[in-house]
Amino acid sequence: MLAAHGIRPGVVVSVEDDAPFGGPRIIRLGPARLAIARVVAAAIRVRPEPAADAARTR
Amino acid sequence: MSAVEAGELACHRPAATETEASGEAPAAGAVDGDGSPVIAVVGRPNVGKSTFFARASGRYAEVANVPGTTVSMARRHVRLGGRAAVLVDLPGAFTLTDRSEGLPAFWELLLAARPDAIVVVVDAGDLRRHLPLALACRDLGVPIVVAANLADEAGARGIEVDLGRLSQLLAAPVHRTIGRQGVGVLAAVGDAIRLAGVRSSGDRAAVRRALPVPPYPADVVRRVSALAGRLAGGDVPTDHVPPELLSAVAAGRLSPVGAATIVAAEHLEPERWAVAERWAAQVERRHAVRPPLADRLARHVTAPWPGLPLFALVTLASLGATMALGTFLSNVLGSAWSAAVSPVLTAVVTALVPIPALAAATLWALDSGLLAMVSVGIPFVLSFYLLLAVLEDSGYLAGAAVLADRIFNALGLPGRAAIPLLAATGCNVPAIYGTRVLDSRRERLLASFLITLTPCSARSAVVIAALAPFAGPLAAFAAFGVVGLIALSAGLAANALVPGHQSPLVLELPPLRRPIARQVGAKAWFRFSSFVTTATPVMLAGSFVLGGLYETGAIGPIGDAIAPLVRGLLGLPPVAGIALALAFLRKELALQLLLVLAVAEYGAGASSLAAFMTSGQLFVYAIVTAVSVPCVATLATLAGEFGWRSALTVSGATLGVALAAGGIVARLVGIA
Repeated sequence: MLAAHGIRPGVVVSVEDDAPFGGPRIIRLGPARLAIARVVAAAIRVRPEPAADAARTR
Repeated sequence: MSAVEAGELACHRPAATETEASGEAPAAGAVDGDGSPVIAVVGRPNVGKSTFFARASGRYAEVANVPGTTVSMARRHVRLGGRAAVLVDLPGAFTLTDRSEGLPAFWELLLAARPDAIVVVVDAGDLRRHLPLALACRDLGVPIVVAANLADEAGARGIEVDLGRLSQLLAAPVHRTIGRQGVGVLAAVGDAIRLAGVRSSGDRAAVRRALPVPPYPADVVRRVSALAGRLAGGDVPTDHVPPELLSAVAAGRLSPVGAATIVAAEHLEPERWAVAERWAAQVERRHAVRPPLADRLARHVTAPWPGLPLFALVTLASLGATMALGTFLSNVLGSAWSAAVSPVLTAVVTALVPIPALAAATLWALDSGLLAMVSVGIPFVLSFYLLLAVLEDSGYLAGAAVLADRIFNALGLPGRAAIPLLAATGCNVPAIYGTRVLDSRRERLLASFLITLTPCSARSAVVIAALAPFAGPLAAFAAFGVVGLIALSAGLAANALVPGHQSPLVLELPPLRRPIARQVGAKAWFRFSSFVTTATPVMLAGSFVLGGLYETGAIGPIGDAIAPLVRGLLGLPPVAGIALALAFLRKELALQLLLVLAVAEYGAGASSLAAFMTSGQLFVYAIVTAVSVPCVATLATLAGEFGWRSALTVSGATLGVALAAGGIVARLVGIA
């Protein structure tokens, strides 16, 4: 499901906000905004991207 | 293990045996009955595909600025530049192998449409995530035209696309389109019709020229070719290949290579994404611009602050506006009906139908039945649909769904369920149709259960009219509070009792957009007309039966049968029980019916509710009416969507909940 949304190895994502009450995490992927349940978001492995306020999935 | 890793691992499957592949696309495409070529419109959810379709065909098909709302296919005959074609709008898809519960895979839907060409609608501002689907469609061997849609929004974000270059890379025509304004739409569809003509005329050379060189690595191409060779030879073990795919190849609807790209989708998808990434980098030019206002606002909608207060405000304002507009329309239409239509109907029916009881029952149906549609159904449902269309098309609803997601999770539902539940306060019937936006049957059933527990405008009117004048407005508010609590507890219980679990949310948020009046109107009208055609016959039949029971006196034995339950459990006079039971046929009549029956039973003195029921009894009556068994139109809709067994289970559950809650409240207020 994540892959179909474009969350694939090597892409740059950034976290925008968290919905209240433990709701979904809103992430940015290029121009797109995705709302992803926390439990799913936790499964995305990221490492910080040097020289940018963004993160990179591995 | 993360989903990303799982995707990688899935690639390591044993390679297929190598044989020669033909690589030929079928020469003659399937054409519609009258020989017109079929053009399928394909795109990721929320790319404006249905708006594009409406622009191209001149007709509205169900569309919303909420992902996943095209729930069935729409087919339209179009004529462009002297050429006829059939345009088919498909549901939004991420990949060809998408499969939603209870539905065939997307490629099956696509093949069922028998397309001679495909228009792939992509987001010009987000090619990286949209080109893979275009590549997948192209790999099928069907000619494609790419519509680089939402070009205006891409421009506002400083993204410019070299369409000529993209067209070269894809070896397919690419059109700049703005679906909302109709820019480029007809040109794109015209191009697709032209390509479809080339294909169905059997010009193999032209088709071959149009066939692109695959941009994939050699090993992947070899694997697909090998698979295609085996598919062409028919020696594929069926446990690896869906039988539908084999029959499509056998029928010549799909080339073996096209079929192989579906079978090998898991291997091809990562390559498609890699190609999309490369190509997007080649054709995109970015200018630094200040993000558009809509983008900056979008973030505030989903942030806890100011998103939550805004959510509360929008919800209250929506309900207020629906109620205000609905009441206004209701009064206007209702008095027009009583003044102009009722007397005529009465005169005509009395003159034409000789048997008095039959004439009276017919009048129940034609006069009061239609009046109910005109004065309750139409005003509230239409105003709600208009408002809902505005909220959807503005993109606000998707943001609100994310905000509310966690709250609805407790009920086993995603935040999207807020939409049909809000619709339920107008009328349950369209709300149950609205549950089609949910993913699984479980979610749809849980949502429908909550919907039937939600008082619609007719039931709300009963609560207000029964309580406000006799027990005070506070009692009416309290009743709504109690009903809310009942629905909440029942929803929690249902989530715990119904087997299965909820899939976690992954949702793409649409940007905020200014709704277009014409589109809002078309959408509201489209849904409204399907409501009218569903509800009207049921209302007519229900009212006729109700009239018949009343006029023939058959109502008496029914009352005797339920008296012990009504008096013993709920502490209400037996007449109230009859009204409650018959309100199944017409909810908004729960009150009028009670009065009519009370007068028949207790004489003229009972013409005021207060004369034969205490405030406590009215309170219980209002709550049971609001919660118990849905009306006959709702039951019919439930049966149509889920089958009779589930429909009766849901209705039975609401009856159980209503009686239990009514019994408890009756004891609390001391009337039983």
